[in-house]
Amino acid sequence: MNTAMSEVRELTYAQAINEALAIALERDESVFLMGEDIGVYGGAFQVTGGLYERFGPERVMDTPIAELAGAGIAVGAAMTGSRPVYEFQFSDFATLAMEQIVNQAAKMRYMLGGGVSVPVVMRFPAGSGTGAAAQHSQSLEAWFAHVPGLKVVQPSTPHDAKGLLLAALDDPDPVMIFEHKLLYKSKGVVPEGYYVEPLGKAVMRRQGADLTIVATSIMSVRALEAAETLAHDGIDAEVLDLRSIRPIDRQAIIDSVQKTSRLICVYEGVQQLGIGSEIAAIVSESEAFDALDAPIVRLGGADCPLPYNPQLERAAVPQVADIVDAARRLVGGRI
Amino acid sequence: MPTEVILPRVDMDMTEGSITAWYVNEGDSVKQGEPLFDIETSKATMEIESPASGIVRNVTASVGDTVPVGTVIAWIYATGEAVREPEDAIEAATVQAPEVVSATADAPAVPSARELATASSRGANVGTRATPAARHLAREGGVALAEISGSGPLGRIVKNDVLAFVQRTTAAAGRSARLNRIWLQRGNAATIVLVHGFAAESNSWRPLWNAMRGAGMFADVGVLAIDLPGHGKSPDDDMSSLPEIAHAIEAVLTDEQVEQAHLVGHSFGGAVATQLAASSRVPVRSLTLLAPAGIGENCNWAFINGVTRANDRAALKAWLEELVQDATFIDEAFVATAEQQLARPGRREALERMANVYFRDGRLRFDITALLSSLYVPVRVVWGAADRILPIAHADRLAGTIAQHRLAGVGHLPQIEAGADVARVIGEQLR
Repeated sequence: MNTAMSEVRELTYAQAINEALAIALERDESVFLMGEDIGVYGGAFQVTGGLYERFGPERVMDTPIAELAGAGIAVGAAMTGSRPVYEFQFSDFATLAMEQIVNQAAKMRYMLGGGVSVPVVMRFPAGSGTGAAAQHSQSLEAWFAHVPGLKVVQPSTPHDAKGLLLAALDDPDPVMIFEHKLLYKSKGVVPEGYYVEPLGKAVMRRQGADLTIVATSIMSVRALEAAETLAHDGIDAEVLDLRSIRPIDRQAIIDSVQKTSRLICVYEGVQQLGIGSEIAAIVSESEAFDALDAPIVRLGGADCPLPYNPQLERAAVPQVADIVDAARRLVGGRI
Repeated sequence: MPTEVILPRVDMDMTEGSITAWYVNEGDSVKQGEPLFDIETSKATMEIESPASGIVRNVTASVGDTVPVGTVIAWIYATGEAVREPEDAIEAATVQAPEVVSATADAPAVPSARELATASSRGANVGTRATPAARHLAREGGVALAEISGSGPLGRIVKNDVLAFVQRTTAAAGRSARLNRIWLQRGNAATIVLVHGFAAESNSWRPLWNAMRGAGMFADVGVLAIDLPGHGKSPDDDMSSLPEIAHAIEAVLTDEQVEQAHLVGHSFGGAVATQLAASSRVPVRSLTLLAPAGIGENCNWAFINGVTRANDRAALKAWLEELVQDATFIDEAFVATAEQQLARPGRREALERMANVYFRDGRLRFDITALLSSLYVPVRVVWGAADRILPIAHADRLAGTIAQHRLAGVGHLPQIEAGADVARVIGEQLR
């Protein structure tokens, strides 16, 4: 049953973002895009293709290779009535903009007593698997989830890429969106027209009884694949796509673990001090602690700069087989 | 840091295993995954692989040893690592934080679940390992974790272990409302509860009861004899742990509305009585043990086999005479009763199964000394110096706080060979 506003069809993750940006640029004059090669070139990952032609250089701005300046401009513009969307070419370059993101964007509203807000959206192509090596493959979202004043999301599907971006553009506070590079070509059903997915809410991708897998970004996709394999072993996995890592949907995690009594956290960021550490702590501090029937398992990135060699690059990050193996051992009572 | 080699649990209800072969010697090099040793359980023999690569040191169990699940039986040291004494190695493991990920040449880049398991298992020897869910369930159900054997890594108790235990004991309790019992005398307040030994039954207490009546100390007291599962007129329910049997006995006491129990147990019945004393919700006021099993390590396996497999009366009589110092105590009536017992359909097989669980190869598979030390009621132990089934030397292991009555010239049946003395000891427990 279709309505004119919400026809359903498949888009790639990149196309879904493109559509969200186009809708936002149309609806709201204060929205504008900025980033390296996003205009004429259409973006390093072709996310913004066609938008420059449609909306012109005042709304779709190519910036120089100067992330700190770019972020500063975005923060200033946001404080003075605009709604910029700043695309970083690689999430790794957020390091150059930390001062503006952490010290300015996150704190201005608080330091000025609510007199101003900073409605900036920053988008970060993140993650490994494209052979881009150590300085172009990182997953740094946990850093930003550690900063009060920011919101941080990681959409894992085209549907959510569009919905979360549109929600971010409605939010009065800075929102960091980490998009996994390998997901740009993934396809999924995306409704036409305007819709939002709420920030701060996880979504249950698969109901299950034997264990909970809490995953972010591409790991949610891998966890679902793992769950299919596990189903053949008679292991029924529940997969919770966290989507938002600041704020975290604590109750969704707690409810799920209370139901299944076993937990695996899968994330691409380095395992130590990554999002899985927080998920494990949330569970152990909650009423779900007494439901745990096995230690909490974290599967995160290896403790090393991401390698260039393709086999090593794969080995440095949780893969479907790792999730399957961990789940088998966990449910089999061997952990 | 050295890796522990732990005797693993390979069957669901396994509590210990015996080492039947070692593939390496102290000081040998092994690779992870190579065979280290064989263990034998009541069900099968299994080859166990090395959990790590390195050099085997501090081997603490040899071929033929039986060790509880979870015991560290050796350590694997990395090449060049300093060797510590086993106690120090355990301490070192406690002090150092678990290494979950290390990007060394040996370790896989992404920590496998196996690595995670090893890291989390490098802890000190904690009291009872149990998951939060298991602890919560045990607390709610009023079940002591110490009664449950865990099926998880390192013998960790998981939720299913608690559930299974509750189910078994509830089922046992349910079944045991059918355990046969004989009131030798009804009483007012206290009840003496008599628990016989392996291959015996409740009527074997009658000679003692005669002696007790003669002693004049038991006027107001109830005297209740209970047939163990698989004995006397009780059904042949296989119960493979002392706590299960104890729960079944407790259910009879509740069923019979016993308010205070003075437990008297003979031989294996002594172990059951001790387990019951430690965990009973029916108040236990004293414990009297006659030649109890579960204090020493060995028993007369030939006797146990001989009795359960005896094919004719003469053979049975010969084995039964091992029970006493003076063979005249084994009269025709005694032998006839025993023969009748064994003639019941399925009875021999049930006894053999039970013998395999509790006494296989003459080694007692349970130990009640810890239970005894947890009791605060008067405990007296009576033992015949000429006991050929459970040697009196076992009693040397008893703590000094437990009274011992050592009877010269008496075998394994002090309640028959020295009935008056045993009656007096029991009577003193009532004061």
